[in-house]
Amino acid sequence: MNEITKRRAVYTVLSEVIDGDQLWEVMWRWQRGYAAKSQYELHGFFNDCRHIAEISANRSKLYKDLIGLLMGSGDGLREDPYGLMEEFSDRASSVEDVGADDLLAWQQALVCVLASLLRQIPPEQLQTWRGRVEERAQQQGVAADLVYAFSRIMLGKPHNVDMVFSPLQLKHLLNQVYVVMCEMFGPVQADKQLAQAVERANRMQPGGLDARKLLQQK
Amino acid sequence: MRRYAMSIAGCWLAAPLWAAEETTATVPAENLATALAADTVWVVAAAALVFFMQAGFALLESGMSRAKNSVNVMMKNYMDVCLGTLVFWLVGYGIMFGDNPSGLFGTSHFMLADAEPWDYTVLLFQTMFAATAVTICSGAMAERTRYDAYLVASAVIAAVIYPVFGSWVWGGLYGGSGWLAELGFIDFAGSTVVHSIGAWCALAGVIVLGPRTGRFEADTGKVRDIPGHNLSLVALGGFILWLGWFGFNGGSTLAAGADIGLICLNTQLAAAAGALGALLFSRATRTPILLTVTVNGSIAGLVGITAGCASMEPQWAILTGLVAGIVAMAGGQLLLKLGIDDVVGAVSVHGFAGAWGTLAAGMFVTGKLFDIQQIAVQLTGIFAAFGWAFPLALLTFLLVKVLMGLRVTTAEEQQGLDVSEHYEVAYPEFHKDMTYFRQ
Repeated sequence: MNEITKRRAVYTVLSEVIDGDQLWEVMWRWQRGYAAKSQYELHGFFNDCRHIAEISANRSKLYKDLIGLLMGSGDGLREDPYGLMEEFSDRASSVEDVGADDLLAWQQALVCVLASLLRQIPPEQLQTWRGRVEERAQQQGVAADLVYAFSRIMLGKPHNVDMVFSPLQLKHLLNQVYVVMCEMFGPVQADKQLAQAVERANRMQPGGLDARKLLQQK
Repeated sequence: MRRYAMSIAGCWLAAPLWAAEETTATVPAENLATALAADTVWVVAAAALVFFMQAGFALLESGMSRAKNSVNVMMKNYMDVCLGTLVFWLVGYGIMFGDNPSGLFGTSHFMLADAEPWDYTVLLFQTMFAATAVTICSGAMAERTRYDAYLVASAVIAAVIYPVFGSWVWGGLYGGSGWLAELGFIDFAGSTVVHSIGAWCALAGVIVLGPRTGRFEADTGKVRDIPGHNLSLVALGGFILWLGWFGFNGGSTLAAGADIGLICLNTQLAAAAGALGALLFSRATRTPILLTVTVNGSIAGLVGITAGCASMEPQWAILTGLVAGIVAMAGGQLLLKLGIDDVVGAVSVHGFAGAWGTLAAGMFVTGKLFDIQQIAVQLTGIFAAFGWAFPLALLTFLLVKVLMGLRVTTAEEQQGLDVSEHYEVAYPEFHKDMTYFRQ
């Protein structure tokens, strides 16, 4: 079975449960890590995607369906999504070309914003807030390692800044942080606190990445 | 009632008397020409006033929204006029006023051309009404709706939802008559036809959309205030709407007649009483007397009197406006309890107050006070409006949601729709730390 057919099968199955950027991120994860591997490695792929609620909840069915499609005649497969994956990839990196150093700058900016936010959350609500952010981030498909790093930052413990996350993932996490702030403190307060955190983050790291880029969507 | 076969039964668009054969036989032709000219001038001027109401809506809605969404709100209001105008000319006018043998919708006069001068005058005036009905959704759905999706839904409202119901009440300008008009339904200038229809569409829209992120506390459902960014705009918008309403109600005579005085006086009294009603409600419920509440109270009064402004005495207009103000405020609180997030209070102000005003129009008819039969007809019309507009709008918004996506992402909501939808901000200094914009 060639790679295109395998990609179409993965796409057909996954698009039943997830969509949008999350789908393309998962497709790229498969493309980069599993496209060249045998179908016996698919458990590993689903394991990598366990932080996505829709996948972990339907894991056995998705696996079964995918194997069924890979073993079948190719009927019912959706069109090859590679063009759409490339579009996503272009979009994700269109903010600017991101090199390894830049990626670290993005992460550093996020750490600064989160650290600033940490100072603004009432201490008695901090634990609830952190728990909700973690829960929501996992539900929304933020990489498990990034959620873990977030928890470490919020607990004031050393975080794994040496790991590299895409700007898209970092933005995605910050958005979940914002949504939980809206839900807990109201959107007015959330906007104010986020603006202050971004402003403070920029002061904390002069010459670093403008933290406002973490809020830029297009 | 100088030259029109206007009646309180909603037949206000019947043929002008200067066009009737028996009249032309007895009145000199030059007098008829002068009358036609005077009527045309008045109705066109009134159309301009109603057009100006769009500015009022834009300012009011923008002022009640956060700074980061103000361009988006303005854009929606602006395009409502543009789209509404074109769509109403294309199909809306024909459906609403075309030959209506079934009583359900018009079947002629689409894309009006090669018509009589008076037809163009009516089309112009009615185009402004259609734009008003459509734009009511804009404020309710502010701050989280995708621009393109909103415009598609607006076009459907202007093309189908509004004109079909309009044909039931005001239809048959070129033959036939709407079924509600046949029953004797009173809605002189559109408490139900324009305002309630727009509001029920808005209600469907906000239900499909869901509330703005953080509007209600996640666990308890507690309402969180999201204040608008500019209360001066709200006040100015309220004043402009009030001014425009003299054209809205006064122009609905379609004749430069003596009855305009009473209509405009009733309009003025009801608006004032509506603001008072909102104040009394605030006092009674021990809530702060907000500017937004006061302005909405007066608009509720205006909406309420729109149906019966030509058919009731001033004291009843005051009562209608006063109760409309109270109804709108109470309705707004009810919606919040139900977890429905209407940014500007459009559903309560245009929907609930419009329904009350339509009922009041049947209760307070001069010389026929509290006529049970008339009240029953009014209730029929009120429920028919909801039964028609709400499900159809719900279906429209659901389809738009499935096919295009109706709501922006939470990231876009955070960034503000000015940037995410238009890449343009109204106040760059206000949120310089929230957006990375045109560096």
